[in-house]
Amino acid sequence: MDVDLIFQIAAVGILVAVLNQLLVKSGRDEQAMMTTLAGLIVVLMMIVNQINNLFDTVKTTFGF
Amino acid sequence: MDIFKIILLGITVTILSVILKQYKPEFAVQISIAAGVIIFFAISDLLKDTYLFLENLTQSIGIDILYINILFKIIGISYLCEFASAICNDAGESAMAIKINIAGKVTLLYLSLPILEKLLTAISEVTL
Repeated sequence: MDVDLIFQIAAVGILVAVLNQLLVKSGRDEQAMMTTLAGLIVVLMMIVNQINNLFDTVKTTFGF
Repeated sequence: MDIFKIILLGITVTILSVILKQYKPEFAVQISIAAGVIIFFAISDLLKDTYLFLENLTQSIGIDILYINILFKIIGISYLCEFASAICNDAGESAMAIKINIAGKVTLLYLSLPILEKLLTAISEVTL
């Protein structure tokens, strides 16, 4: 039960939120949007790998 | 897998996603997906044991293995559909959740056709 994935995602989320505030307050809204997108893509890649594992396990477990 | 660990994991993930929802709602959805995947891996060995147990049971009794396979396929499909539609509901996309449910129901209906056919043939043999 590797729960470190959850805490990684939470860390990335909070980091992106802080960076976003920082950049917005300093007037660089475009970079703020770019960092949010970058954080989202990083987390999405982690999730896609896990979902791939999930579908493979479901296939083998339920005999598809 | 210890059910208490799963409950604790669920509560912590809910708290984390509530925190994240204020700042970045898109990460809250990601966290719930990750938690769902981890909880499934926690219970997947239990599922495998039940499948093996049922398989031995049916072989010893002599029931056709086809039913058990269809049964487990139905369980798998309904679990995945429930997993996806719950995530869509969490994210607020109830329309997508309903579509996934409908697709799941149609697949289940299609999967249960062989059993229906066997049942009807058995009944017709008895009555004729």
